[in-house]
Amino acid sequence: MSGTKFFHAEESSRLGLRWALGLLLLFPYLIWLAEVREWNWPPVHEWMPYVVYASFQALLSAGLACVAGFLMFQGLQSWHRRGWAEAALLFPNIIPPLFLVMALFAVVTPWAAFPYGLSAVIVAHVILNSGLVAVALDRLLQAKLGGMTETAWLLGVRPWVFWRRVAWPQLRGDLACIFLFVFSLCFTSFSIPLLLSGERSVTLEVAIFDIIRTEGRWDKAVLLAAFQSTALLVLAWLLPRPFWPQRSSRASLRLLEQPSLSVLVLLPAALLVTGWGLGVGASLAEGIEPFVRENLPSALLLSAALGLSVGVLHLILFLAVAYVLPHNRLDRFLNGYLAPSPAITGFGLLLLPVNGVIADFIKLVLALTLISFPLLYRWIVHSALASLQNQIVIARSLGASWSAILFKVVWPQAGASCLRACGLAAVWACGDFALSGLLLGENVSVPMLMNDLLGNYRFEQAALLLIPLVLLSLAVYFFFVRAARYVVG
Amino acid sequence: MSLVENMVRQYDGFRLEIPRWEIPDQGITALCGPSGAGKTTVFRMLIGLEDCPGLKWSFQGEDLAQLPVPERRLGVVFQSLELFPHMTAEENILFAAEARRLSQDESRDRLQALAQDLRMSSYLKRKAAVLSGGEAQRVALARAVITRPLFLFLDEPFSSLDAELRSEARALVKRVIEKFQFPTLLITHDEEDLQAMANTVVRLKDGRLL
Repeated sequence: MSGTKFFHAEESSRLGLRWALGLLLLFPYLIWLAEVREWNWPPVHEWMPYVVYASFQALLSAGLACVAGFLMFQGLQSWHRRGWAEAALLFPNIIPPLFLVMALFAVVTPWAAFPYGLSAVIVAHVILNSGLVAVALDRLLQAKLGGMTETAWLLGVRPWVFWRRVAWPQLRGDLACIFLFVFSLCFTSFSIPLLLSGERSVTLEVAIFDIIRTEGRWDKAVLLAAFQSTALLVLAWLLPRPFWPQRSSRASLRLLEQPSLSVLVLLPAALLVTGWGLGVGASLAEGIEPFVRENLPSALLLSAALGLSVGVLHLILFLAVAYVLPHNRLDRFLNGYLAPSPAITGFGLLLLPVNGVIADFIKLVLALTLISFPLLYRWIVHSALASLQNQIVIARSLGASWSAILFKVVWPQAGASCLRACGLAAVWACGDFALSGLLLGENVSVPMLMNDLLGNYRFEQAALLLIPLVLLSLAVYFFFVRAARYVVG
Repeated sequence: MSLVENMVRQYDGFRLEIPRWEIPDQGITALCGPSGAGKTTVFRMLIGLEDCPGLKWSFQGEDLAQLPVPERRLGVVFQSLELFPHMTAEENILFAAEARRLSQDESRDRLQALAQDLRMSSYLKRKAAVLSGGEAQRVALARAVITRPLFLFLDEPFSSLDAELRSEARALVKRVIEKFQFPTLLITHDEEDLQAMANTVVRLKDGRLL
């Protein structure tokens, strides 16, 4: 093929890929638009209580997570081993929600009946998100006020004066952004409220799930989902600044340290590890039941297949995005696009008239990917790709083809971030029970077995399954972070 | 004289080692060296932004290295200046005075004197974010010296200025330092800075003083 023809073919394939990516991400909405025939907007009294209650829950969860995160941030400044401290803070965020719920059960149930309901959901959300707030604050201060914090320290400024006179006037928009980000996480949370909220739905996601399952009102569910997406889009447009700046050179934030709070940094991770220890300890004493022993090998196999497939699909999508970027409109779409609700995605794919074991598995892989891809792109991959824009322009001006740019410029530098994101997607897929339950129906994966055991009050048996599930999650994560790098180059 | 001892730091295959260094307690001492020589590390360890466990820095009968950073009473002008952009030039300078709990009258008197010495009167009420490079540099110097620090540190203070402004800035800074007689450590790699300002020159190469 001559040079000109090759470049034309490349441009056409990039255009096609951009459209394909956009349509794939919008796929769940498109199915609903095509399949739901009658649309009836439910009366306000039918949906408003859900919105009010979900907002109340999210406000409390986000507010408390921000307060706890602020305290942890001050404790974090006393840590010399920063990498470890940050990993401990982010640990609750990167594990599947089921792991967190298991730990809470293990810590609480020996002493009291588990307090299902709003308070349990809020506590879980605070444990889940406070470390994220602490690390986000650290990155924000480092990136925007690192030098000023050092200067203020040298000038003898007291910490609260610095917060009030220097940090607050300059960062209030970013702080609001962090709060709203956590708010949106708590507002759209699915697995945790599904397990912990008891009788009353505390998020719209769970309400949507219940409405379809118990009332069969698909139109009402979609309209609630549309309301939720619109609300989140409005939030995103109100505060479009990225709250997660790249780590720049490390300035000293010791002015803001509070050594007495340093132990808080370990609290969420310690709670989780203690919970698992307690749960597994109790279950080992009891031994494995035949039901669990019989189902475990096939469940492990399916969970592994699910994790690896979701990770590979993420990898393909990240490669596709890296190939078609830079492109302003697609970049804006990917950064502004909110993943559809898990219930909408799951039920949407159920509407597809293709069924069977393989088809259901593929639907599940697709559903899990459509839900985690937008978040992982924004959280991990976008900044890695954005930092290479100038290099791409230079390579292009030197006459390099897009595929050469992808494999010789972009991938060697952004590949590690992409694979880390794939590893996380795989871990989340391994730990999924909610969408798996919806699309596969039976107890065929390890988390589904655990969920079933929890539902039957056989906590010890469920806790026992944590061991293989944690090992499996670690294996798939390191597969992507280490092994896949050699495969992809 | 102030005496620095046991300054040792190892990172990424680079070793900085200054067993003993006498810094004059008057005039301007310039620490110069090529990029990667370790100048910034020396600067950050002396002002306390980086830890150096065995470091001793004896000055006027005290070991400054043992004092908490705010109590060392050092004046610092960073290369990036680090003005608070939402405050005016005047607020930036008075913020430092307030942090050291100077009385309002004294702060005002010192501000006026500095404004005259550094020719800042015309832009004191302007936000730091809109100051030119030369103006911002003077404000940073005024903020560093309004509290009469024990020791003044200047980290590549003229590197962001163009050639014309640089010679004027050097003269202004030198005049202020001579007027108040601050012992000063100037970190630079610019030979012209050395010629125009330094009373003593110390050269650093590969982590060692020559």
